[in-house]
Amino acid sequence: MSDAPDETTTWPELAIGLYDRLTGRNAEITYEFEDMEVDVPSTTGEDPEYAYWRIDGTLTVKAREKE
Amino acid sequence: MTTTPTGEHGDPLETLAELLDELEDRPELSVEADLELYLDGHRASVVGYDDLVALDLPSVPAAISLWHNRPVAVMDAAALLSSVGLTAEVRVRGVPLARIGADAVPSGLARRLGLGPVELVPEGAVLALTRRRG
Repeated sequence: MSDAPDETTTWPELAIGLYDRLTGRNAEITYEFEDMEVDVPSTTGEDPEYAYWRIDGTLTVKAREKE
Repeated sequence: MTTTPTGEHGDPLETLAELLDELEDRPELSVEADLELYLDGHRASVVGYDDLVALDLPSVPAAISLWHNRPVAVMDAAALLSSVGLTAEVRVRGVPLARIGADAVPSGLARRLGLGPVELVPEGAVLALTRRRG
């Protein structure tokens, strides 16, 4: 039996994977966007329309204790 | 990207409900952000202050346009934000109009208008509509 991780196939799985990496190590993740261009689909179904987004700046995410 | 299955019985998570179950009783998130955005023709900025993330838009029509073209259902966004202890605030030229997420108190008016679990700031809407652009 292999211990190799499986490939992520759903967005909730991707989200919890990112969350675990962040909180499991008390980590802080900083994303620096330099004119990143994204076509955002209106839906996950067939034939979505796309909105054009451009992002520039910094985003930092870290875990904190519940209040 | 790869990850290890984390759902019940080791199955991959497939729905928002399963993700919310996984996030229950886990640490909340803190966000610091300083972003300039161009959203489908509208300039905007995002500033994050710990548990509050504010999206500042140039006009009320821009806010309405982005609302109609949002990529995520409001109910889903509100539930996900609440589960990680974050509140999102929509502003027009610095004036708060609406909030969703952890610290938002959904308005009866928003529900009657079919907007979902949104806290409306009525005086903010009036100010944003009447304030001259600086």
